[in-house]
Amino acid sequence: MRSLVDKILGPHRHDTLIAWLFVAPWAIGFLIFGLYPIVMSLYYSLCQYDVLRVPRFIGLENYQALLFEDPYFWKSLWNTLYYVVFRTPLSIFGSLFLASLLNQQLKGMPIFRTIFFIPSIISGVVLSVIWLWMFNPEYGLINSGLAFFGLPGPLWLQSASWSKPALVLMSLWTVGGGRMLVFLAALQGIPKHLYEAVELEGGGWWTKFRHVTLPLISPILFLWTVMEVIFSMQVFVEAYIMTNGGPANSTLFFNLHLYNKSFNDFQMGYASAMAWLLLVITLAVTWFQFRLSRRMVYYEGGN
Amino acid sequence: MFTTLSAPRVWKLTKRALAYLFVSSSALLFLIPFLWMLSSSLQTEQEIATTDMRWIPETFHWENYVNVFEAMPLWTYFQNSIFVTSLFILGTLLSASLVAYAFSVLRWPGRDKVFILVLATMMLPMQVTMIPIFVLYKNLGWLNTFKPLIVPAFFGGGAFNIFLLRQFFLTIPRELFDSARIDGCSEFQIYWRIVLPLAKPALATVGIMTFLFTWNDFLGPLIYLSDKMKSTMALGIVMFVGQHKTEWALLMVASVIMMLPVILLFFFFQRYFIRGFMMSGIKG
Amino acid sequence: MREWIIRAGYVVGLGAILAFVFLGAPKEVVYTDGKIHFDYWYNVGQEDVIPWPVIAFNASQDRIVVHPVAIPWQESEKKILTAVISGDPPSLVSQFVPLVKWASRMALRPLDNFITQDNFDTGIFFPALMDEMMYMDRVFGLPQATAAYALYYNKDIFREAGLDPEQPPRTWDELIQAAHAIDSIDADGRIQRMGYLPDWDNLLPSIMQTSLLMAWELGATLLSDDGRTAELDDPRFAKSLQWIVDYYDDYDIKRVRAFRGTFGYDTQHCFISEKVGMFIGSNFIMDNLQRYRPDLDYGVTTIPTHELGGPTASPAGVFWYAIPRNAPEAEAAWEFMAYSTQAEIQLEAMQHTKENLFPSNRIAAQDPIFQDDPYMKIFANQMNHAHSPAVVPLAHEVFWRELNMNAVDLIIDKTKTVQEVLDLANAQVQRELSAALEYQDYVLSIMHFETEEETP
Repeated sequence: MRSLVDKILGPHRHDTLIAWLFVAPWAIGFLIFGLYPIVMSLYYSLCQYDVLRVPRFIGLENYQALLFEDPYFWKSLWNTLYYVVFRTPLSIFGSLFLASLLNQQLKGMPIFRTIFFIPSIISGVVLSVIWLWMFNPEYGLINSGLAFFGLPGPLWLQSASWSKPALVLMSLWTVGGGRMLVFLAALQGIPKHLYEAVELEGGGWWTKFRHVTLPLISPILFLWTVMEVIFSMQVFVEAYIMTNGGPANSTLFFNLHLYNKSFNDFQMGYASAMAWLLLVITLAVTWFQFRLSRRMVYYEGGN
Repeated sequence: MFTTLSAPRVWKLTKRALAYLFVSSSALLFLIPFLWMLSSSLQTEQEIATTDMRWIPETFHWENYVNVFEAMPLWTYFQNSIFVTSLFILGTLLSASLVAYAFSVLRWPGRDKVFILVLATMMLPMQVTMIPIFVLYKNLGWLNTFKPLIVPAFFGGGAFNIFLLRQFFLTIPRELFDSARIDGCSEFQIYWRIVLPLAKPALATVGIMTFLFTWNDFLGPLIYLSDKMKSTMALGIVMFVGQHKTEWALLMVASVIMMLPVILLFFFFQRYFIRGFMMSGIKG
Repeated sequence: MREWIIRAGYVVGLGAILAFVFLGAPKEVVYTDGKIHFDYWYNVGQEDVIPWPVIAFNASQDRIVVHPVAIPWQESEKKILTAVISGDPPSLVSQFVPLVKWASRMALRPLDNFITQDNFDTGIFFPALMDEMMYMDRVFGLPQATAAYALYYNKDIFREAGLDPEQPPRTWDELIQAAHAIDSIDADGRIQRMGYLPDWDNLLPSIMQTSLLMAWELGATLLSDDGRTAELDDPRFAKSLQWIVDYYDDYDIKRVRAFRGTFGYDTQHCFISEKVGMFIGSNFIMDNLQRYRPDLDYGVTTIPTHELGGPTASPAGVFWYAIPRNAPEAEAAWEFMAYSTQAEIQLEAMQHTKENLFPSNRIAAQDPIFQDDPYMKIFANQMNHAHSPAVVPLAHEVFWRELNMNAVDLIIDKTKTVQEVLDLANAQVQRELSAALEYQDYVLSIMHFETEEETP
């Protein structure tokens, strides 16, 4: 068989053919689930389309309506931005802080690690349900706990001003996940002699952190920050289950607005336009982060 | 033990004590939502709806764990979840390993460029493809079946998994392949007989992470399934919320049940969980 | 030992997976009893009981079996959408949103041929309800139930305020006078009780409570006859909104808002907790009064009019039955619909549910149960003057959002004038309406409603 193919295609061609056979699952998947949908969604974004009826081409009207006439578009962008801006640093530094705590070689670390890790692997659905109950203004644990100390508890998810902070707070429960493990490994990889050098010069923990730890883990920190930003921009499940965008659209995140437009209002064309704007925004944000990184990230043996 | 207690020594011990204190109290804080959930799951609706915190329920209403199966078809949801998840894992392991093989063991022109394309697809927000894929499934007649939740797994299984497996395959010594080829093995045989068995740990890791993803996945079932009896657990639980009066006790029970396999799996396969997440931190 | 456990775990796990894979996959249900079976999707209400008409219908004959499936509110639109486009929908659905939303999207099956075939008299329904079932001159659904409205007033509060509890206000002017007599504001300016809140629904601001009713009484429809132009800036509607602004001139808005913040569900409802003396509400309130405050001495009267003897108006949302496009058992579903909308069935259904939905069948409303009870009689009569709240059906959500959530607060805060708000809302609604119409016209030139399969 091999020699036959060799005769027809030539020896190197044979390897390439085999390789492509192996890659075929991904390649076909890319065409069907990647390229085709991207092109189609661009087309839909230029149409009115509710899936029940045929699409109607309307040019850039969707984008026009989206950018200039839809108040919820900007509101949802703002909500998402708020969430990303508050959640990302808290999550990243939360994980980092936790990692440095666990780096102390304390006894019983596996147990602690487990406790911190588990919240990150349970379903977003279960998370939402647990915290929906925790945040319940009358019977939830948080307000009951606050009442115990004599403090008034806000309405949390039923208050337009506390709803987003509540969601950010909730996301802190998962800081002990994979991200923290990566940071832990990174911290453990820092050569001790660098710390000792700082100590000899009389530096305290802040100096150690700023001049040794931070620069050395900055590549990892940066990478995970980028991923965290992209991930936070996708926020949907919590808002869908816990608040459905309320109260007063305070938790109407971009994805939720998109979902509502698609499956409640049946405006698939409009929603496709939103998706494309999201893509552009995501790319822009990521590009921006990479530019920022040149100034702040230290690559060993590099810049 | 009783050496001189010099100042730096005391400081070091204090630091450790403080760290211990901090870590334990944080761990306790982290445990609280779980404990609260467990406690709520063993109370009745009336008991739950009081404003005094009651950690240990007066009576343990174990019957909640039976009643929940009447309140919603939880067992069906469970079965559906297992069905979808196991097939998805199978598809992912098969196709991701095939593709990863091509990007690591084989050499062919354009290999690295195509790999960058693979990685790039990770950046694509799913919203962009969500609607056309939905329409595609509609045209195929796959809506309201499990196919949309399973079939994509067989087409590469996700760029991330390909990446993970590729990293692992790259660590296999080339001599193994060369000698196998000399012995006349086809690439597929090498893949099947040599690489796969060697890659068991990596496959286990990918399997575990895929399990997490599918078991917890909610958006897929939300969009593609409309038949109540076809829901998975994730979707089933959501439907239980926001009925006219949310039954918190039973909801907590359902959540505990949904969490159980994940936690059990974690305890048995901790190594693979941790490795999986760690490997994602190593950027080539 | 540990190895052993892990290995055993693998085997068990694999076995379980295989078992589930082969046994757990949901199988299509196949009925072999020779009867027609179809699914009926409805929204779960306050209580999760099987709708009585289904039980009665299944028991009354043995050719057809209806399978009721309850679906949660939040999900229903999406589920029905997916079901319809997957080509395998239930044969019958009931929903609450304007029927036109589904009908205009070619998701439903026209019923005209069934109606002609069976000589079904659609006149048995309240006109407002039946009107909502029409789209492009075709019938797409049958009204199942509704909620009737009236003006509730608290007789005890009336007495306290020196008003005659047997003489509730009949006109809007009389209402203002009664309201002022009832108002109770303490020395600090905090409101203890108000006579009437013209912009407040059960838990949210709403223009429906007063302004829309007033506009309807004046004859405004807010939509052109051909349904293509929004007329939110109709001066009659503007006048009705201005009425609210003027009403609140006598109060400190901040105090009113704080007062409203104390309202809640059930026992904390503004009327049930006696914080408000008069309230335009649906017959649901009567249920809740019965449940939470059976001691509350209240009365019910027709919604006030502009002049004595003038026309009254009330809103009438409708729960409807409809048959999705491509339904497998359309005929059977129709038979069920025709059966369950009969007067006797609707009356019987009322006995079997704790939720007091008002029947959609006019003849049912003539029954002694309604006519002999002084309160129910008022509700029944009010239904004859009902209007569909789907004022601009093709732009329904935008209409309600722009007016209910946005406009009311703006005008009573005097952030915007009534005219500004209406112009803005009209522009938004018109834009949505025009887009929907363009799409509709385009689609109709390609697809058609024929009762047999359409060409998509």
